[in-house]
Amino acid sequence: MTSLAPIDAVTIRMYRGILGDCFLLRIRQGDAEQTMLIDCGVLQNVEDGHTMLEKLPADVVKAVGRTKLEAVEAGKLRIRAIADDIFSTLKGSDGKAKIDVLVVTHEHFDHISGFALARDIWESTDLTVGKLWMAWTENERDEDAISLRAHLGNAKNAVVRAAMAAEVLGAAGQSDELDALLSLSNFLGPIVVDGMALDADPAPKLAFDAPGEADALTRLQTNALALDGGAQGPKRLTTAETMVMLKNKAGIENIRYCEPGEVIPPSDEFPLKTYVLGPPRSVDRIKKDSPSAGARSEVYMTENSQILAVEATARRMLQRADQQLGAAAVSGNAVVTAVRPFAAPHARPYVYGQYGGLAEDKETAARAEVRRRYESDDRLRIDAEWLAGAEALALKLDSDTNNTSLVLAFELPGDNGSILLFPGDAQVGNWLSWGDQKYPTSAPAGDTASIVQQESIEDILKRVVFYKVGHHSSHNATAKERGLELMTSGNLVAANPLVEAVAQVQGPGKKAAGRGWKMPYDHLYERLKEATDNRIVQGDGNPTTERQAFEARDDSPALTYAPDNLWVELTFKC
Amino acid sequence: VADQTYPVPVIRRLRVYAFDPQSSTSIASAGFNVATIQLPWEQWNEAALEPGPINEYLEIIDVDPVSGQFYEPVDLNHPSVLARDGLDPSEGDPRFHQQMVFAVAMKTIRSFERALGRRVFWSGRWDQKKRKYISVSRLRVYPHGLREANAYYSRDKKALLFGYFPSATKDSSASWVFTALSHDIIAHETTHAILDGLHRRYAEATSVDSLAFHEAFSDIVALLSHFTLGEALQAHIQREGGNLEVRGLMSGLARQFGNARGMKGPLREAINSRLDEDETNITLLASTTKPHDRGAILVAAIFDAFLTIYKQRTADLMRIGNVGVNAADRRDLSPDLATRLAREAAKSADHVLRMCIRALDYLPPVDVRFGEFLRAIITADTDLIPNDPYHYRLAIIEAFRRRGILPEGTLSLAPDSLCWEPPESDLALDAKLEPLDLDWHPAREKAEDIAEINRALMHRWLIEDEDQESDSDWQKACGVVFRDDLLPPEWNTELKSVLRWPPDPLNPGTRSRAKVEVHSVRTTRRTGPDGQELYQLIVEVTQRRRGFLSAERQRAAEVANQADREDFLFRGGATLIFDLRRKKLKYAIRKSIASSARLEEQRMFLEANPQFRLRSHYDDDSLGSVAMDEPFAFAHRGY
Repeated sequence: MTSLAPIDAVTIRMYRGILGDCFLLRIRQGDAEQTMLIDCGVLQNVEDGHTMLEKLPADVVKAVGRTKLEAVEAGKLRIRAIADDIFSTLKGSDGKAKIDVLVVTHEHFDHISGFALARDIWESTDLTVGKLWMAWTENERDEDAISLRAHLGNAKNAVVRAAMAAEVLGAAGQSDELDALLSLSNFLGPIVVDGMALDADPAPKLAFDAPGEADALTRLQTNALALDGGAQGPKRLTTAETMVMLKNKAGIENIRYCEPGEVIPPSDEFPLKTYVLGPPRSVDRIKKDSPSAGARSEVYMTENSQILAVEATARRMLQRADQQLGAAAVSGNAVVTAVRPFAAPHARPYVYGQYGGLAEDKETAARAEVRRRYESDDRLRIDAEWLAGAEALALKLDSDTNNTSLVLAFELPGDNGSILLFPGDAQVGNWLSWGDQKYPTSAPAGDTASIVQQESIEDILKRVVFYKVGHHSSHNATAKERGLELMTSGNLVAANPLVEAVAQVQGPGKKAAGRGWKMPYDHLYERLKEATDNRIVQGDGNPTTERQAFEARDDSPALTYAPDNLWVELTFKC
Repeated sequence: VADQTYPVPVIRRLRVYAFDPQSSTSIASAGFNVATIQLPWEQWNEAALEPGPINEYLEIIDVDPVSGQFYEPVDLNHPSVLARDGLDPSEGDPRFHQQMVFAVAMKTIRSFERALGRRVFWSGRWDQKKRKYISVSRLRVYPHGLREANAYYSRDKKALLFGYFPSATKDSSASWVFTALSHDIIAHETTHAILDGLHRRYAEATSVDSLAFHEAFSDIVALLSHFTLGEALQAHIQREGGNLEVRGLMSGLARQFGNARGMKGPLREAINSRLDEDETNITLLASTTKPHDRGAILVAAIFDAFLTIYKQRTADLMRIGNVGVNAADRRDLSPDLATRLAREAAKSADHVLRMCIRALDYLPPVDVRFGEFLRAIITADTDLIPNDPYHYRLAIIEAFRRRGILPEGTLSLAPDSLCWEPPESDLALDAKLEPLDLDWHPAREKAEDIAEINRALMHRWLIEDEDQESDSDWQKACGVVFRDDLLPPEWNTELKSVLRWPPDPLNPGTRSRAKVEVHSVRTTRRTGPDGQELYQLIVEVTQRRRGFLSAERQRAAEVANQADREDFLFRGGATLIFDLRRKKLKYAIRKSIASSARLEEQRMFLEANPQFRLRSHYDDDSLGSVAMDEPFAFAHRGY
């Protein structure tokens, strides 16, 4: 098998029925085949449709559609079936399977949880990974990456801790902020793996020794492990641990940390010319997402102090949960005693409705009067406002992590140089950064004059014929002027890894119809339909309609569905 | 107080940190870091001040949910507290925090009342069940409501929430930083709440200016109140030889807060290093698109105007005191001269602050722009003080011009052409409005009820009453749609869908009417320096229209009158200012509901800033059913 053999066809398989990314690329060269897997994940806590139907209010069910909900398969089972399918698809006659290149775009649950939830398959010796491609942000020996990851790691801990605190304090279901926070923390993990005891199956450590690497990793793992449910609970594999597990699988010599602006020529490693568009090196770009307009993100907010504050609040809340529930069952030993701002003489403990832990005759009349005013109207109380800070941080963190997405563009052989674009979940800053650099190109044979020819991002985007829709078609992960509008090949098709019914019941959508995540975002989707002539495959799409749209044009890639609709394949002939 | 044989005091004196606790720990500023705020004692018809403190305006509730505490409320009437002008400044006593928040917020409220010539009211709270606004008499204040580096005015809860947080740096010289101990943050947040009570639609993001205005105005108030802090001001003037153009305690906002966040300086700074004396940059505003940066330009412009006025007012004193321009000459300022200069500085700041606050009554009810703020300042000031010996108005115009803050559609920047134009037609209040209660009611609660009655009366008179000939002129003045038969032909197709009340099929004579909101009906009585008195009635009229991000969908939805869900709300309306002596309409400051140019601008703004049409990250629910039913439900996150 060699890359120099002519390429006959490229097949992109999108796994369906998940709110999450899992794409298998196969490049056929005669009898041989090269394979690439891009991500394997599903959103956390997606239950099967029937369970959801029992829990959701009637108007939500009605708005989303009963049949649509019923069709949803539990995330854990579905992703397991997908992992099985990947293995059996790639399995040779010797019973062994090989992924030539594994691409992990970014450390979000809906992109990597499959590796943890079907850990036995990925860690099995019957499956080998040739190369692992990750973004430079995952490189533990890169100074910028270390500080960026430490920062994001701190934020993540604070958010996960806050979500835990809120959950155990029973604030769930009482505030929109909390619902939003919990649904966001679903991107972050930790991943609960049933039936795995902590002792029996320790968290993965890097198997190889690399200078500088150990420190950074230990820190990340310590951060992550501090959040564990304790020895009694089920083993939770954090997303960071999942990344480590994959690095171990590939082996250090086989990891490629991709740099923006890099062009990877066709080789034995991978037979398609690959442009690395993102993530940007500039931290400003990474931090550029659409800022939340909330009251809580107001002028005074800043990141480090925000992280510290959420962390301190969450610790304090966990401590209170311990007191309420007895023992350190909730927070574990990792929680240090949170301090109070005022000295003991000023302490006046307060629990809602109970004279604040003071005996009735100990409370002054003045305090009782102020307290009566406070408790007179439940709508005006502020007990859950602390969550808003955590929510704002969670939103920011979520966007920042999306912006660390590895963005790859693969060039198909042939005169047109058609491009397959996989942007991960890149948000605004990442998209905008693609134009910050030029992309070197080899001169055509015989042309000695233009050795240093450079391509601009416009040159690349205008050749895009396949677009993996960013972030399940949310509003802020497909740039308009600097993105979609530049994809002018006239022969664009798109794949959107989305199950609408699941998106619609996330966050506040759990309780109120029409308040879940807006995926797809209508304005984007309208434009995308125009640009593709309706040729979009979606994770929960209707195969008949999708097929019709593709067949309406004879320049469409061929469409194939699995018999059980587990996946859909687009085949580009070369 | 109960003992009637003693006369009731006039003033309540309360001590606060002049800036924030940090200034007490530095030798340079320790001498003057405690300021005493003087608040008028409660009048005979006002409720007594209760522990909390709780009065007619504010209700300080010191619950700290994160620490699980409900602190003891301070009793400002306790003899031990009264005898020493309030508790001693202390970071460690939550009761002092309550006292400081109360004192600074009340001082801010009083300066608005003084400039506006009437009571300050909070904006009403929307009651989803009753489907109407419930008046809010007391703003709630939570000095320790959050444990984070943040403080905000919650429109939803009608409350100010102040946070505290462990400091991240050594620069803040404290392990905990309390936003409730920062004069600037308290004044800033209180101003948000007052501004929301005056113009409830200003919290909606309709353009970069409208977003920035709330912030900038709150900063202006916080900044100019620095000059009411006598001791600090005098020390600053003494040290700098009367020169206020140096960055320092006076020109920086929220210094400890900024330091705690590792900014090595104040959170914001009014003296803009980018724009020095000789340099004019009339493209500055046009080239700045971020709301916060634009807000900073407005703050800098006002501060610049203040400095010019201060220099005008003190030019003679400087000559008398023989103070040269060189820094060396300025060092040994006579203390008497410093006192006089400080007085002039305080007066200048007070005048500029009053000019800014008075201008609030002269602003359109929706979608405010900086240029309109300039026109409002100039008009309001010209009305009250026709004679302008120190050229205040020119100082303001010049400061705005230098930053490229120019109003649209004015001929020149001469003060008279910047004034709002009188209405096109002669419109007057008529006898039906006799029942309007225009008296000055010192009791706040009573004034509040009467404002509501006046509002309803005004609404009936303007909108609902039987049709009159002048209705078309009124409709034009208000910039909204009243009824189907009044639609000018050029509006007819586009705006038909604004008409919400369908004609009664059983009663063919009934007209199809549009929903019009009348709010903020208020009277003002202001006295100028030469005894001139202004007696005005101010009414805000607004209307909403569905806005769509694409012009085609807009047309389809409106012309074909389709029931499509809008992408955003587009509002129009006018602020009507009546001269109550002549019973005539004096100004109609208008933003027409029919303006397609403005609609297109808002569309472009929202196109470029999707976060302002989206409720949160994944969720454009602001456009959803909740928002359709009740615009307030999604606007609460505005500030």
